[in-house]
Amino acid sequence: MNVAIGDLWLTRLCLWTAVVLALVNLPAPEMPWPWLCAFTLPAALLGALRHGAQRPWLRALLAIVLQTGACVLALHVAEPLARPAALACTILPPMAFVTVRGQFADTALGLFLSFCVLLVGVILRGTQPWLLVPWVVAATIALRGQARQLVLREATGRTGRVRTRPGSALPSALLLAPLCAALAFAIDRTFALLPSLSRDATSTPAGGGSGGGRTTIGLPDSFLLDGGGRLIDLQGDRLVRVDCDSEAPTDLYLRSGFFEVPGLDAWRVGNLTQREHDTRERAWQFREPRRGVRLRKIELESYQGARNFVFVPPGACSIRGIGNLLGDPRREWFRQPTGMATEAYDVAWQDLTEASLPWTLDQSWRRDGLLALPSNFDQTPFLDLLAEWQPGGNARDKAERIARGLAERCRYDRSTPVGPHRHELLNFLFAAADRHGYCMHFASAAAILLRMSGVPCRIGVGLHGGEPVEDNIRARTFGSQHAHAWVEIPFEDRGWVVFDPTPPSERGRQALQRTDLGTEGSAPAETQDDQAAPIWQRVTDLLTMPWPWAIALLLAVAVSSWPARRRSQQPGASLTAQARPARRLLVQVLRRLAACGHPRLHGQTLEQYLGALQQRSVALPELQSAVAAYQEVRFGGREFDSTRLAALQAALAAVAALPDADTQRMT
Amino acid sequence: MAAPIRTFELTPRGHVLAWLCAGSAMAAWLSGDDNARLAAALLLAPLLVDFLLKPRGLALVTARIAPRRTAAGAPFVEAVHLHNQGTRRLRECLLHEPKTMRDQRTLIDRLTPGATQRLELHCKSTTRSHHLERVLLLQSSWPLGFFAVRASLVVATELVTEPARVRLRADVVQAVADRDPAPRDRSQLPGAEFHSLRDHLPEEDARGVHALRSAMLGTLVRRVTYGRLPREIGLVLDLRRPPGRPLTLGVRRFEWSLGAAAALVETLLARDARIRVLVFASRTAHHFVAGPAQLRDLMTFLAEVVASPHRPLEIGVLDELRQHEHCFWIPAGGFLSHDETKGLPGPVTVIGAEAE
Repeated sequence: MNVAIGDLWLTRLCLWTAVVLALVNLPAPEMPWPWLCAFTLPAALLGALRHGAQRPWLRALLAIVLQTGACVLALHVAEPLARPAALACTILPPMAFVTVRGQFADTALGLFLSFCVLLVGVILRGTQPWLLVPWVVAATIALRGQARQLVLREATGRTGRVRTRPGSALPSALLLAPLCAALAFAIDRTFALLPSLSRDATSTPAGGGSGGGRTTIGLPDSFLLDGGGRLIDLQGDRLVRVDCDSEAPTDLYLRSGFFEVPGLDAWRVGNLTQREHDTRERAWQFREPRRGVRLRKIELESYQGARNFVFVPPGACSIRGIGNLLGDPRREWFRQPTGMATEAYDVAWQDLTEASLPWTLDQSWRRDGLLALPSNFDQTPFLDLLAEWQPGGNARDKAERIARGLAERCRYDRSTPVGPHRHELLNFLFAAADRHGYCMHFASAAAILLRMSGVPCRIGVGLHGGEPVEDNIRARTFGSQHAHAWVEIPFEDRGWVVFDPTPPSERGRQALQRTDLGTEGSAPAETQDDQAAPIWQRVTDLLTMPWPWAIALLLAVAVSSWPARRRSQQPGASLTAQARPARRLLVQVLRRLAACGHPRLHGQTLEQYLGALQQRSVALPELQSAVAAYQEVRFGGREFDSTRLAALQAALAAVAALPDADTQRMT
Repeated sequence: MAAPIRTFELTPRGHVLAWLCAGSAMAAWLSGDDNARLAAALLLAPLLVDFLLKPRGLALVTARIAPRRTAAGAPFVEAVHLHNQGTRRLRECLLHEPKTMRDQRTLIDRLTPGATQRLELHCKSTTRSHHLERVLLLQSSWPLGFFAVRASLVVATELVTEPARVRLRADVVQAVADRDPAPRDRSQLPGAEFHSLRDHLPEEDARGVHALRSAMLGTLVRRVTYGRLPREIGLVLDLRRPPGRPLTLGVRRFEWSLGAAAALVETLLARDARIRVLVFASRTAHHFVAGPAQLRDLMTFLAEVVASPHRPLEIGVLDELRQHEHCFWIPAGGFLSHDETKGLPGPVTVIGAEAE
């Protein structure tokens, strides 16, 4: 066999690496090991029994029995799977069955099974680049090894395995692997350009995530706001602009709504006592400002997408310039009547958090249901948590202790909590491991625990933080990426005081991740890294934008589809080193002959040329010897020795004696 | 010379992957789900890598093969020089000649631009034929095997597949000489004299058994002594089918008969006889084999012949064979008329008549 030999062991190694990486990518809490075994071991067992059960119906029966038994066993050993995990994993058994069904040696099917397992992990856990990239590399090497195996098998005509020398397919596979990973990224970016039936191309993906270089947070919840609007309806980079009378606070909360009626999956607004007030001429003063506390004024400008909402900061005293306004001043909730959409209005407010006022709870809210708990609510695990954390002291201390406990127990992640329980909040608090959630889960958990501790509270929702406006420290803009939820506790003389149980680092993270921060230079604590950040961010921006990738892909396809070219035949390119001096001498002879009026015509062979010279009676014996010598060297593979050199030199001397064409003409 | 044919197509694995990729992309489009989009990207990436890196210059490869003369079914080693005239390197190409290489393919690991590579192909031409050009198929599925690119390389060279030689019974060949009395002084006789042994047949006279050799071998063998052959021997190769019989039947007999004719002519020529051959096809062809050149011409002719419909012989067509002392008659087409064989004056040995 005149072929290089491929490598079987490398293919197998990479296949198993891909399988292991795919299994590692499965999140352990959502996929406990009994369930993992239940989904994978029956197929493996079936593969091991392939010689015992070859009939298809017997294999199918065996697969059903094994799978059912494994699932029943897993149900007894472990808790039931969460719904998304169960749904995602339903593809595993049929895939495993298809993989082992008579195709035991096919690497591609094994790879596809590992791809499905990887995808389950991605669905449950999100994309993990540190696992995804090695998987792509391992899968590419395995694919390359298998392609070589197939070629070798075809070449040798054998049907069994081909024993090969290790390493022959490795260099090309190592080149292909990063290319494959880069192309996967490029295709993913390019696909992001395509419009989807279920998603407006210009809108922000819900539930947090990044798309088109923009980081968003949003609230992918079903919490209803009165008036038919949901907070998730707040879509857009710029929803509200705030202009303050002094430097704009960086941690400004703008409430657009609240929730009082608790639930394990959704909170509701509750009863409202609505009044109408014309604020066009005169401000609606719904709370008297406290003396000794600075009264701040802000001007809010709502953009398209947020004009239904009226945003007020906690501690607001009055609103002006919005026309007819519906509202419940006690609950600090306001809306414009349907059909009205005022763009700008003024709000006066006080920051009573640091005021030297007593921290006395407003007990009147107990009667209004701010201590209510969800219906059909099993308090036991929550009481266990309170017993563990032991929140004591006043309401403020209790709130801080609960916030600290939540931060220690749960992880912030912009994905829905998953776990064995039926309710999101229970999964957030009591899943076996990896308890994660976002601001709404932190706020609702804290609110329920506070109410169980005897502190009346509600959930406030709206915008938080915002982004500075370039060259204007008094202004900030807010977009849907600043949507947020927090807890508000009613205090006497202070009103609704914000208590935010979401970890502070996570609250501000969205703003820091923004790529279009034009005024970061005005940040107070700027480091060298921050100065370099815009350049790096521009590069990152460019890399994450889909257009360059799409163009690069199109270019690559166009270049590779270009028809293959024939190698250009340079004159003398195929000459051997020995033929070159002979050719040089022959060229001199031919030039001299051309100067004498006997040029060699285009396309004329040397033999034809000699025949033409004979007809003109200028044939020289030296010339024939020279041509013969040249052709022996050029085509006969003979050496250009002294005899042939002498023949060519003799011809050169002979043609030199011929008269020039001009001389002939003169004579 | 036929133009090279190029194809670029998905392999079965590529088809499966493309369908999976299309399904994922459709799901991503319908649902807008990021995971479906990622799945589509991960599935499409190897497909696209394979498409981008696929060697496309297969049609720019030229091949050189020397003229070849072989017998049907006889294995031979063919030297092929491949020259890559393209600008791209070719990798993992499978070379295949459907006509001669059956299912065996030869792997060319790499062929750099401008380079020439010599390959030795183990071939076997199974069908009697005469071709003026040979077609090689070059195929590559490098690097990942999801696309296959193929090109046919047409080489202007001659391939003559002569009829497969048939082992003739000794008595058939000896039929020419057995009638002659054994000469007293064999050194004066023309032609090769050959003495050999062969298996003894049950119906034969036991007096010809070589006792010593039979005892040594443990089986009965008999002595064979070739006698003098006539200088010129006639051979009639009748390709006519019997009246009303289709041309497509009797193929095995036809091929066997051609092989018998080829073997007979070679045997007789090796023993210094000259053979006048008459071939009755749609028209009568005349051949006179007296040396290797004429033998090559006859074999080329035999490589091309086909059965012909029945027709009566021309008057006097057998006259040129009347001067010969002995004639062979091979009814390759399956038609044998004793009226026609009676037209020859000397003894006539019919080869293959029992096969009808």
